[in-house]
Amino acid sequence: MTVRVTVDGLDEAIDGLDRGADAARAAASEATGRGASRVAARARQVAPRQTGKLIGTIRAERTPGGSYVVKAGGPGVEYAAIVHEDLTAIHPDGQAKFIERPAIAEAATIEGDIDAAVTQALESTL
Amino acid sequence: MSVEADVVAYLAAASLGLTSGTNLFEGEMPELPDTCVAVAHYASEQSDDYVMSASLTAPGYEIERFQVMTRHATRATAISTANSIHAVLDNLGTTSNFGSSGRTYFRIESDGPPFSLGQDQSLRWRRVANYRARKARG
Repeated sequence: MTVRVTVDGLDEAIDGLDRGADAARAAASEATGRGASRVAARARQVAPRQTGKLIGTIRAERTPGGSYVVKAGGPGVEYAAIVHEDLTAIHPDGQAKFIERPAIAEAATIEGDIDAAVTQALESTL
Repeated sequence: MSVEADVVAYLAAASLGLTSGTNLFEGEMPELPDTCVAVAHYASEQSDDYVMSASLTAPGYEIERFQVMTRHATRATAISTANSIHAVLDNLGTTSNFGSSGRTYFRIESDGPPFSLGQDQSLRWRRVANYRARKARG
């Protein structure tokens, strides 16, 4: 005995899943970018501001893989890593760990934003 | 006790030639002695069990971040001391009564090997490594 089963709309369903995956990936990346920008903004608020040069180098950058990093330093501000890590230094108007602490503080919010963005993207495409 | 005190006690008992209050300190590194190690707690994180159910993660732990700074007049000694401490702490698994604290430390992981902060104003070499400890609350 042979039972033949025909599924209508399978191609459309697969197309929908593909679109959903693409939309979810894009939404996650955008939400991550927004989170990285918030971390950078908070980092600029708490970084030592003796000359202002260090604060001017704090930025969120998108990597080729689609994730984001928050960086400080660059030409003329090679000391950024030392300022970030030296807990013994006394800063009248800022603090060490000026990126790491905001990143830890924002982590749960960023996770929530990514979750919401991916859910919304999937619901709108599937 | 604080995570600083726990780690200091653990390192003091680790046959590294470190003695609490002599060349091993809690908190930010003091100006003297020239040769010393300091353990400073600098951040805490939300525990996973606040956002995940008990079926996914064991409740009752907290996450602390601390930095170990090593200082020595000789660069090579600063490097070797920092690396010895790193070998003891990094990737440490479940350890009950960690540092005689009475608490269990479930995991200590580093952000990476010790790296140089260069020389301070007194030309002493400094190296640091950052760690994340998952430990029982209390």
